[in-house]
Amino acid sequence: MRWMKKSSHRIRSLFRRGAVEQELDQELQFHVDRQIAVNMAAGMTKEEARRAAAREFGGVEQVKEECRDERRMHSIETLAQDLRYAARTLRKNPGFAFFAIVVLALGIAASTAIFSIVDVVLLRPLPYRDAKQLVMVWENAEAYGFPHDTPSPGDFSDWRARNQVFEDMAALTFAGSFDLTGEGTPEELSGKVVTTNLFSVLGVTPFLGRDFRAEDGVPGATRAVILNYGLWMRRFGGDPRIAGKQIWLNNEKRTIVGVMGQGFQFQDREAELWVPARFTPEELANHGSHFLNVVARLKPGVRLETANSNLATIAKQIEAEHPDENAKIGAYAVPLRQEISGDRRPVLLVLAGAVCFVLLIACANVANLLLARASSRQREIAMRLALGASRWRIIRQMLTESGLIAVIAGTAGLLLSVGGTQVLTRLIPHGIAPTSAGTVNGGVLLFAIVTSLTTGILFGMMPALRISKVDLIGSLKQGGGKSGVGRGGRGLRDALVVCEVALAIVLLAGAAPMIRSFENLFHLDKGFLTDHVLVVRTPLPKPKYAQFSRRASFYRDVLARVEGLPGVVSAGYTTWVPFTNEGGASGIEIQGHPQPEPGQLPIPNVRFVSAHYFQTLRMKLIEGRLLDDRDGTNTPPVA
Amino acid sequence: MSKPTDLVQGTVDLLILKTVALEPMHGWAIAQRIRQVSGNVLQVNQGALYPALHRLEQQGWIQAEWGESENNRRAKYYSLTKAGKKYLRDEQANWERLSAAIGLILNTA
Repeated sequence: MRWMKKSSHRIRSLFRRGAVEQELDQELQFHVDRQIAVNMAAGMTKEEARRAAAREFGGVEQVKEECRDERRMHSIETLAQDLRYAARTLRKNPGFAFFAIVVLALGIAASTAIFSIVDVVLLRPLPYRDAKQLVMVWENAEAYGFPHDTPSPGDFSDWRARNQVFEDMAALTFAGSFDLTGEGTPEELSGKVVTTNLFSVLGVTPFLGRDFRAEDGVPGATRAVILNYGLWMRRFGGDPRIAGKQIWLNNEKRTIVGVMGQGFQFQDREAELWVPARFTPEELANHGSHFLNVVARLKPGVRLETANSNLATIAKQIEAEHPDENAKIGAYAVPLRQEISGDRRPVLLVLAGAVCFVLLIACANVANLLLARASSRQREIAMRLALGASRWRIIRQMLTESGLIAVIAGTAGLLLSVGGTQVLTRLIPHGIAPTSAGTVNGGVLLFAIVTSLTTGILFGMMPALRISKVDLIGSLKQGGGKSGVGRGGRGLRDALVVCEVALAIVLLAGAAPMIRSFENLFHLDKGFLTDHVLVVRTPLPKPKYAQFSRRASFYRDVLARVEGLPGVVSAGYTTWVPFTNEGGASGIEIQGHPQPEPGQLPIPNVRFVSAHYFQTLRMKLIEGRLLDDRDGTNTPPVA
Repeated sequence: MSKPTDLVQGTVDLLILKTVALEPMHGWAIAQRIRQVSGNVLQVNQGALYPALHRLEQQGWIQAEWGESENNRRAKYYSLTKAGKKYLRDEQANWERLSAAIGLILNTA
């Protein structure tokens, strides 16, 4: 019940300030009067008695102020009062307020945006069970120029069967496209073909329905599919009884067995569905085509090095068994986190550091503004101190003011950062839930609030401490309110300016090479020109266009029509645009050259392209002729 | 702006609580009572007394009521609340323990 009484006191002193003040007056007056009476009883004259009592009591106003302080210590009243006062002073000085708020808002926005990215990419645990135990396993085909190569199904099944370090291993193929037909508008969906144990390796269970079972991966079983949350909501209206329903994908009937929870994704944030891979025994023995992504869960207590040495041993065995296909092909594991954040980590850390500097500079700037303004408020403060305000009270008042600036700036900054985060979201790698990016979550909000308040205290404290230490007599005597903060104040401001310049130089020094390398990246000779080039995807439904001639005529038709469009210079087809890091690679043997040793076969990336592809990208031809319309389906294949 | 430090703050609180525990009392009487009972040794300055009273009221240990004084004037009478009684008991026990311990050290060392 104590808190009730306490709050009733506070509420009373908040709303009935007049009454409370009057009572305080009466109470103290009563005391003085009693003392006078006693003094008179002791034989003093009335005048003497009054003076003695006043002397004994001390400063009535000071006692009153202390009583008020006791009443409102930690109470909302002071805060409300200070806020009102702070708002008034800011309004009186719109230029100052505007600059301070804009400078801080930018600083806070930048740091909040960066933090929200750092939070998602580096800090928050990956959304899988015991994500620290998860690794990606790769082939090391460095001898062929692919140090980070996608394993073949043969390697995958051998690793899986022979290792002693993993609880289990799962595999996915690269993104596939699935044409959803039947009810509603037909739609091309992106999906992944995965081994049936993928979700159990990741330690996630479907939000609805069931996980894949081993029998879903057996050729001939009913075809199953698991949807992601987004697709389920978008296309199926979040139907809770979806499990068991059948849909048409690529003209095959598939049964929806489950729906993954909101935000779940692995490797590819575009993938909206997963279907079980059905490897035939022959495919599982294939060591020649490399197209899998393999994820594995380490057994508890097994270290990465142990796993890697075990994998190396197995790779040697496979090499001995399949000298043609697996010569000089190693195997190694990379922690999933490292795989996902990859080279973005240093970039982010550098950005985070830079942003801290920017925020510090902003703080220093605002502190300087406050200090400059403080000198013009010297007399006001001196007056209040003389009237019995305690130093702490003044500091509190000043801090409330800077806090108010910080809160306004923080709010503005947070809004700005939401925009900024969307731009920065590109720094969030695939493999981390898209829903968690670019949204203001609790952590980010907390960060913004803490940053705002810290900056508020940081830039407000120094001026507040300085100003509350004024020389009373001196500043009251000086007329006109033009007195400076004094030599000490100027020194402090000088120091601030020095710090600012130093920080700015550090920033510039850091930014220069960064801008330089960005520029380099833009001017890098890629061997082709990307300006005025547009990309359009035209996937075709497989069953209808199964015949190569039908596909070819469709593509020829498209190209002819596109090239006929006004403004189009040339158009070409390719299976994969450059730098997509996907697509196939095949070994080539060149007639007239000696047969290469096993393991030295050159393996360039292969793309299937149409006649005008090279012109369109303005690639330079080193030797010979370009592919042209003569190279059709019925002529000898050219390269 | 420092407070008069005739008495340590916590001690003033304890003395006030003990004094108003006997009967409701106004500020002046509290100061007088403390002086008399302590044989003129302890003197609570007004500058410390009233802020302390307001603080204790704010914390809910004592409550105030306006009443008629000895000389027929309105005065603010403070009395101990239930929570204050418990707080006083605890603080008094603390104090006794502390002073006994100090006494022990001073007498032996």
